[in-house]
Amino acid sequence: MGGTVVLLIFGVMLTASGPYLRIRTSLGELVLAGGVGILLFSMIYSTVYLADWSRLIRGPGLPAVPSGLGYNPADEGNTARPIGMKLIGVSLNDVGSNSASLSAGYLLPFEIVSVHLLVVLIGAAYLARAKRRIVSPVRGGGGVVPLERGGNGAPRKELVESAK
Amino acid sequence: MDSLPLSWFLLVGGVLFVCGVVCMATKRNGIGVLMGVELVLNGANINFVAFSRYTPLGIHGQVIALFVIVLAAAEAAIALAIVLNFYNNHLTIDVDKGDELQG
Repeated sequence: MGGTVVLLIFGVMLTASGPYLRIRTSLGELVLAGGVGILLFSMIYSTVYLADWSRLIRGPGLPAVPSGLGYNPADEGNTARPIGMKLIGVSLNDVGSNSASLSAGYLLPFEIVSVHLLVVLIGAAYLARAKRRIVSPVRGGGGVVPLERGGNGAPRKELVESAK
Repeated sequence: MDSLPLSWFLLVGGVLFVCGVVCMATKRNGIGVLMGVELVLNGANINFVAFSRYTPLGIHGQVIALFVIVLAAAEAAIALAIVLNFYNNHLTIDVDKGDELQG
């Protein structure tokens, strides 16, 4: 999640508008969106309170970890170690049972997600490579310094400032 | 913690979800729309962790939430690359200006 915030900051910095440019939605649209949001939340609220959760709540859901295994007191969760073991593929509850009744390990999703992250990084790097950036279509084409002839793909300075 | 009813956790997840949906629907800034997407995903994560605490879903709910966080980061990276291309083509990140396909 910290990486997401850093990515967002990079996105805002790379696409910064002029200093006095404001992108605002009108007040009527905000009121309408607020009304729709309140309606959606009332639908969620009524669903949550009309459902009978007592049929689902059966005892503590998380596996009881003996207090010798965790770094925290037993009532603070102590789920870091079972999660880590599940990502390797070992489930701490039923070590030693026969293979028909083992609960799920998460080794295959872990490997798939690691390949997925590699592919996403390559794809994002390709999508965000330096390329031609247009200028506002006021003076016709040719306002971009092309990459092949020693430019850097940025619009020529005098055309950008005259188009503003 | 065990005396808090499950429905309160679900309502917190619901509040985050609704805030994310309204943010996605109203923001004209492209980066603002992406923040709404992150809010929706985190609201769902709170739901998963709440069910993992109170129901026999157990440790699986927390592992699901961990994978959702990883996939949300990957999707935010691609979405930011798309916003960068949008800026390169329109010189603005106002998503209302992307109307070339409008009939």
